Amino acid sequence: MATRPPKEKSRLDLAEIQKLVRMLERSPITEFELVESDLRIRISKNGGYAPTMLAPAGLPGVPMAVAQVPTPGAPSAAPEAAPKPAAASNLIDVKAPMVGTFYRAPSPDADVYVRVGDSVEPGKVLCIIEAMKLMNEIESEFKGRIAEILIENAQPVEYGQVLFRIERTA
Amino acid sequence: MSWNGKQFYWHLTTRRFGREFRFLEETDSTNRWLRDNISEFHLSGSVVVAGHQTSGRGRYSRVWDDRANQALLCSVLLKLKGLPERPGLLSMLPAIALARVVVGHDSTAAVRLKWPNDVLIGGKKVAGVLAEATKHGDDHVIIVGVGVNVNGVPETAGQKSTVPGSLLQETSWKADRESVLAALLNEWEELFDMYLEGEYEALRMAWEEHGPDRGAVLVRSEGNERIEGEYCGIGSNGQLLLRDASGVLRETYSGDVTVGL
Repeated sequence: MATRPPKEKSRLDLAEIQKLVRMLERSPITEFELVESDLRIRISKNGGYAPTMLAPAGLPGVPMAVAQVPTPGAPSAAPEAAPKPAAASNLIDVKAPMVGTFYRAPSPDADVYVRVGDSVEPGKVLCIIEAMKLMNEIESEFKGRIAEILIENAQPVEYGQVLFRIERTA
Repeated sequence: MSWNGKQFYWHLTTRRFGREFRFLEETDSTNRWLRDNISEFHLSGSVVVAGHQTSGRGRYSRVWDDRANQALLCSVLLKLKGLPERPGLLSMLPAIALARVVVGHDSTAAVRLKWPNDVLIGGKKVAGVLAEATKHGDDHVIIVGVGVNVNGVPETAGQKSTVPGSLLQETSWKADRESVLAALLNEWEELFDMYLEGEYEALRMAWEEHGPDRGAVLVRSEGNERIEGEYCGIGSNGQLLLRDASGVLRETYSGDVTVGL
């Protein structure tokens, strides 16, 4: 553990934190904690620790920057964490662009536009949202596969409500 | 009887509505035809008229019957740069426009709008609207199909919730399809310009002016779902507002008003 005397009006920026991480990587030090007035940063090479920072709310920007710092020498944590965010980023939410009533098919007798597991291309109609007898076709913007349908036919939808999740494919 | 273009253009005072125009003797549905041939039209307000539709569609693919050249059957193409704000209002504009046109020709006609976009005269349905929105390249396009019974009513009423009527029967206006369409487009273009200017509140009030009396008890049905309540006007998106027996204000975006007008 090491502390640094606070410099006047200083804030750690991302570059400084990355410098700290690189220094730590090359050094035999396994854990590092820094406290600077209302800021505390802690970096550890021992097992499950990612660089963390505890800071009071109202420190603009800094927590986000720290979250992007690569985890140095944390082999146990990294492989587990890596695939999950990768998979999650492949799933795309299709949100309702307007308020209305959701329909999966063009008419009650017709076949539904899509089912879970169906492949879709950009421009493929996924559903209709009706508002005052205006039938709005909602199209897929991506190539992928329907992973989830989150709403029942003929139900009201709010603006921004997630209707489908599409697993994006290249 | 075909289309009298001279009569139509004589009455048309628009800048763009109706300036791109196509008459088809017969087609399955003007909405479908316009959609299939959309790249031939460039202006917002381009119009396709059919003398006869072999499978005119209402909501849920209900069939809109017509006798050739008795009804005005048309579809109007609206183009927007982005996703329309309050899109539901767009499908209500032709109903407001037609109500104004009819009152302008016969001030004694009992014109009422039935939510969301049917035009009734003396309780009989003379016009209906069905619109579809889709993307065409980067444009958001809306195809608004309008059917107006001008000189006659459909031969088979089928399972309609409202008795059909015609302008000829219900008003003193000896109308023909060409003048009805021209007058409709004249008013519609004005309302569409208001929409583009964001004058949503004025449009909402324009609908309400011809809508039911506040406090009237209406029933709105969709499938097995039924809401009965006091009419409290329409919301900023055009949605129907009914206060039910327990005092809860219910908002609906789909279905039909089946009782109360």
